[in-house]
Parts: sequence; structure tokens; C-alpha cells
Amino acid sequence: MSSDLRDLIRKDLEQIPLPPSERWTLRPARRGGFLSAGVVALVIALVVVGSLGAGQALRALRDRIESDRSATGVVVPGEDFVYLSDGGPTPADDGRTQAMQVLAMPRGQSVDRFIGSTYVGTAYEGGVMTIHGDRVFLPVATITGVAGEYETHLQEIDLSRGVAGRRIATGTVSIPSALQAELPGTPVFPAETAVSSDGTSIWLVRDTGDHGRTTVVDRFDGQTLSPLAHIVLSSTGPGVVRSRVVALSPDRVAIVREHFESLILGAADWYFLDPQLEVIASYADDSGHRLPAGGKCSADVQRSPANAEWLVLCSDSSLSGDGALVFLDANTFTISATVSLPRERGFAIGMASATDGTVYVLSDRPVVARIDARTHRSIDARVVIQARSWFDQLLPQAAAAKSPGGPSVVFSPDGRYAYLAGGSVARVDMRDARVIAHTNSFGAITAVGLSPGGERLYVLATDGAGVRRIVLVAPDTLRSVGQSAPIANDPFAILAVRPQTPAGQ
Amino acid sequence: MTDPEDRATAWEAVFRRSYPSVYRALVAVLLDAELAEDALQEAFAEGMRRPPESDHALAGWLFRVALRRARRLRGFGLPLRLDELVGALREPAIPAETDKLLDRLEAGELLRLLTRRQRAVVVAHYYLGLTQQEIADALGVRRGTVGATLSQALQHMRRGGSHVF
Repeated sequence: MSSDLRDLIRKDLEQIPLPPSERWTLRPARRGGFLSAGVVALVIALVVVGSLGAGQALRALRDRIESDRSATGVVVPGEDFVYLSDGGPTPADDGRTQAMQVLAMPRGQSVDRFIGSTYVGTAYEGGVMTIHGDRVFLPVATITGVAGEYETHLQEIDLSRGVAGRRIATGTVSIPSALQAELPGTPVFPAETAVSSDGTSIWLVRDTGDHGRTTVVDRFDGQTLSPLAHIVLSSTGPGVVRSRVVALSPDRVAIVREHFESLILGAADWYFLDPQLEVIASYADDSGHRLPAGGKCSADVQRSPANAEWLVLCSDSSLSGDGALVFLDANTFTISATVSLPRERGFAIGMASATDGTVYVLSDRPVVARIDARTHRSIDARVVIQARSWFDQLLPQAAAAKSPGGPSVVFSPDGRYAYLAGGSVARVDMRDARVIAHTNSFGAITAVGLSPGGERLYVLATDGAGVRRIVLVAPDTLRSVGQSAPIANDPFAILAVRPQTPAGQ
Repeated sequence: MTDPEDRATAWEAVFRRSYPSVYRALVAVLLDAELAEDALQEAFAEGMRRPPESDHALAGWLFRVALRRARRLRGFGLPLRLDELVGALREPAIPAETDKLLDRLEAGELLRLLTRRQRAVVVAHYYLGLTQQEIADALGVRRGTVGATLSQALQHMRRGGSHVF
């Protein structure tokens, strides 16, 4: 189908007549249309701003003054490791695809790079591993000498020290050529891992068999690395399956089997598993129902701020249907409540919880929806505005929070502020639904990462010459405090930020 | 080649080689032939001042620079966000001449179904043959955004009744 589209576009666009060749290299003539369009836009914007009313304008001014007073632009000192994803989806001859690069900040030097063959970040949606604690296990494939065969293992990486640790051997695999042809970007070792936040459990999920439809799940002891449980989930039906694993607690996990058809994510099946990897609850097509939005829900599953329930944010980026915030019972994972997120409000890119039981959902319209987790009711939904300047402070386009480039939005630990990347970076006050800081002065910003305590914000910026750097900015003002040296290998995502643990501790 | 005049001549030669494809791509994205021409002229001037480091992926460089110039020339990109924010403005009207041109093209109907960002990704990918990373660099977004946007665009075109795929 892609070749048909390519052929059609090429054939048709070639029919577009060209301007006379002598005009190609002239300086452009200023046409009145540009000016008039700009004037019209300005007038309309002024009318819109004016329509906000004097009261709202005064409130905006007062809030602005308060923001300026409280905004210090000071960053709490600290040394972090910033983990970056780089590499391409096409495997090199030795099976390498993706890599995890370690950058020491504020020193700004790359200190290591762990090479894998993984879903750490791929060219297609759903690639970034979910990281909770201070350890990750990177799936790695190495050549064996036999054509098409790779030895695989999971490489432990201590995020707080930026060093590699032990390994878990996971056997020999054959290169999944058919799968790679069906879903470009599939690595040699189609696997993903997750580690519980306390480090006691490690889960591995692998896509095997025809079209990746046989999903193999393993659980390992986080201390001894010995296997604890094993299960196979399989399905029939069209498309290719890519699986993800989401650690929920020390011994509970969710497996997400995403179904791709013609490169498009059509639906996702969710399975909630117990310590023995028995299915506690499933929301799959073969059980007759899926989670809302065809199961296209964020891997950022969170605990409710009001009780022990789980919160799952579901939204379809194509907006073909409504999304929802789903409340799941903590033990049975049955749905205890669903709050609809109408598609008119846009694609829900992330959520954050406040201690008063309010859940904030940010969409790309942009709209902030407030939901009371205690009553399972919607409080309100407000368009994000800020009156200081309509033109230079517009919210950047934000992409899917679970897309391969890593989160394009991160939230402060108290849930009050969202930091969005999408060409520029913006700080959004979720309580008041307004942009309070915005900048594009570091170049094109494609990723954001926050230190665990929210004291330091890192952005991945690309300057006009294509040079990429990590810039340390003050979270409150978004002013630059420092930046790294140019980073090699074209990283495209910030996977994690962890405070450095000094050697010997 | 260090002489400025020689450099300018060389730059003009490589620019002219890429001009037809990049111009047509810009028309398809901006839906405005005049704006596409002006933006590309600006990109040529930019190349005269600061030429790209190599001829490799020149189409991608020109596409990126011209899109940025178009944004500067006519706020390309901003009205759409205002539209989303206040629900009041719409994408600029398509000039009549370009409209007639699109009517003649089967692909024109499909491209009209898309947002500008989606058009940019589709055209860059399927017409200019840029990689997702090159498109991401050109648009100043993450590579993942490009993949997601491409998927959305294909879905929109399917829902729009395309019989092509």
C-alpha cells in the first residue's frame, strides 16, 4: 500500500508546474498577501485577547507578577546521570540497533554508551522501556558466528552509578526477518524488560512466532537473577504483535500486546499478571472487550492519589473515538470506574496526580481536565491559555507520551507543573491551566527529563547546525544554567535522569 | 574551491538540481505556490550566506530551511495553534490557482484531508524520500512524532475514502 501511495504522490506532484527558472534564485517579492494575512491574524488575536475581559486580564497580570516574584531561575545543585537513547532502527551487521548513552551532568560529558538490540527506542510507536527504579536490564544480541543467529542476554545497568553489572543469559535467537519486514524497526532481539521500583522483580517479554503473535513472558528474581515464572500468551488475527511490559508493584505486572496493521497501531490487549504470571484480568479482543480507545493506553500506569486503585490513561492519537481515565481495582484489576475524555479535547498526552486527590490530564489541544479520584467524577476541563503573549508563548505541539522518542511531557513530582517538549519547551501550570514559561532559545527541543525530585530539568536541544546537546535549565523559569558538550550518535530521547551515586557507596 | 564566486556558482548549481522536487514538495505542503516560491528563494539566499556542509541530503536541508522561511513569511504553523486554542481561526485559504491545480491531482484530494504537519511528513517521506530522522530534524520534532504523524495521516486518508491503499 505504501508503494501505491508513493507512486501516486510522485506521479501527481511531478505534474505541478515550475516557476520560470530565472526566478528560482531571485530574492522573493514581498506580496501584499503576506502583510494582509498577518494583519488579519493580529487583529483577530487582539479581539480574542480583548474578549478575555478586564477581570481575567487583571487576574493574568496578578498571576504573572506572582510568577515573576517566585521564579528565581536558580537550580538546586546536584549531579545527575542523564540517559539518552540513540541509534537507528536498521540493525547493523552485528545486530546492534539501539543504544543507551550516559551523560554526566552538569559536567556535560558522555561517560558511557551501552549498546543493545532492543526496544529502547525504535522508529515506531511504543519503543521506550518503562523505567521505575535504579536498575534496568538492556536486551542485547551478539553474533554467534552462525549466519542469522544471535546470542542474547539481558545486561544490567546501574542507573545511579552509570555502570554495567550482571547479565542474564536468554539463549540463542534467529534473526526475525519476516517480522522485521512486516514491522520495520523490529530489532534482532524483539524484547522489552521492566524492573520493579524496589528492584526485587525483573520481567522480560519477547515477541516470537509468526507475526510475533506468541508472546513469551518471564519473571526473574531481582537479587539472584534466577527464573521464577514463565508464561506464553498467544493470539490469532491480523497484523503484527509488539509487546510491552509495565511494572506495577514488586510482584504485579501488565503485559501490553499491541497489534499493528500496515505499520499502524490498531489496538492493544492488556493482561494483568500475578507473581506466578497467571492472568488476574485481561482486556483483550479474545475476552470480548478491550480497555477504552481500543486499548491504546499509556504505559504510565499510576496509583490513584485517593486510594489503592490503579489509573490507566487511554486515548487514541488519531482521535477516532473518545478516550478515558480508567480506575482499576488494586487487587482484581477489574474496572471500578471510567471517566470519559471526549475526543474533542484532543489526544491525552499525560496525567499527574495531586495530593488532594485530583488527577490532571493534559491533552494536546491543549486542555487540562481535572478528575476527582475519590468520586470518580470529572471536575472540569479548561483550555490552556495565557494572556501575556499569544504569539511567542503558544504551547508546542506535543506528541504521544509513550512514543519512541520518550516522554514529550514530564510532570513535577507534586503534579502541579507539566514540562512539554515539541520544538520548544513550555512549563504549564496544571492547576490554573496556563503556560507560565516558554522558550525556544536553545534550538529545537525534542525531549525533556526531570530529576526525580523535580529540582533540575534537562532538555535535548538541536541547534541550527544539527549539533545536539543536553541543556540544564531552571524548572521555574526555563532559563539555561549550563549545557553539555556536543553529543555524538544523534540521541533522540531522554530515557531517565538519576542522581549520581559517588563511587564506593 | 575557496573562491567566493566559485562557491556561489557551485551552490547555485546544486540548488537548481534540487529545486524542482523541493518546490513541488513545498507546494503540496503549504498549498500555496507563491509562498513555496518565495520560501525557496529565501532558502537559496540562506545557502549563499551559509551553505550546507555537504550536498548530501540537500533536499532535506532545503525543505527544512524553506519551511522555516515560510513560517517567517506568513506565520506558517502559528494560525493552526491559535485555531486549536480559540477554535476561531482556520487554516489560510488556499489560493485559487493552487486550488485549481490540486483539483487536477488525485493526490491533491488526499493532501487536503491532512493538517500541514501531516502533509509535511507525508510529502517528505513519500515524495522527497527523507528518512524519519531527517524529517524530524526538518520539522524540529522528535522522530517518534514523525512516525505517529505518518500513521495518523494514513488513517485520515483512509477515512477520507482513498482507494489507493
